[in-house]
Amino acid sequence: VISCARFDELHLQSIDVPLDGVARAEFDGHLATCRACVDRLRKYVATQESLRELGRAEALETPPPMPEALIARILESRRATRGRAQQSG
Amino acid sequence: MVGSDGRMSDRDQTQRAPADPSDVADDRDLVSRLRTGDDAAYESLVRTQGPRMLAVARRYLPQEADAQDTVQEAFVLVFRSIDRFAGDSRLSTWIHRIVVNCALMRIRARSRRPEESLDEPVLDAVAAGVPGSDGGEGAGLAREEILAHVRACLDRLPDPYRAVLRLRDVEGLELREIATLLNLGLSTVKNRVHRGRHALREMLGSAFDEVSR
Repeated sequence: VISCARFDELHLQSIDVPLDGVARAEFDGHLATCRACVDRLRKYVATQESLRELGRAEALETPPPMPEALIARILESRRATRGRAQQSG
Repeated sequence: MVGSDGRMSDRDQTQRAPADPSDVADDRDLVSRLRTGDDAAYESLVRTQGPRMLAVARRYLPQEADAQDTVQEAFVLVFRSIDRFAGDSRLSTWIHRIVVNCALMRIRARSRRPEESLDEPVLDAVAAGVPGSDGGEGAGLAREEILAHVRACLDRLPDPYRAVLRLRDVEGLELREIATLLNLGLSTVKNRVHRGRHALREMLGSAFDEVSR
């Protein structure tokens, strides 16, 4: 039987790397007996999924127009950069 | 230091699809005009790509002034590096990488606090101060509202946690890629991802209980 803190350590270890046999057995054994960790894990996974869904939604968003003042600043900085390059070249 | 010319894999859903040949031809035409110093081509690039670049920068840097400065820096890099654009990805994908790299460099440059200050108490304090973590706000929200809530909570995380969660869970990068981009050890990145997810979960509060059932 492992503690909830040990369970969280194993959970951290398992990010992107599968747990080995003993660790996996400890992890699964704790889940079979601890409803609090089952609940935490379920919400943790749902949080990950919500972030993935946010990524999918953001990719489909139409961004608002850029402020004209920023466009002017960018074009001015390009002119300045180009001017300096021509002077030094 | 992170290269500004696109070592990061781009996972933007809109850019993952195979490139349309006509888009590739448009890119080629625009790039050749940019390389000749065509002013109209530069302005066109700023007007067409700028809004998306600013949206990306805002996701990493919620302060508007930071996001705008980052877009300006990114465009300067695009202008300077256009001769190095190899054409093996869409121009928009290449520019996306540059903006993200510029945003990450800004986050790294101002992260002067020692690693200990990014420990659990910081995240706990952030989570405790966010409406929704007390279970009051958000019950019964629609999907769009939940995503807006997720984004708002993500924006309130400290920069180092927000950056790794965006890179890992929103953009889908591998941990090793993130470690390289942020110049951090793999275990530090893993810790931040893990703690960041837990903190975000606390911040999401009851709005999220509805959808995670």
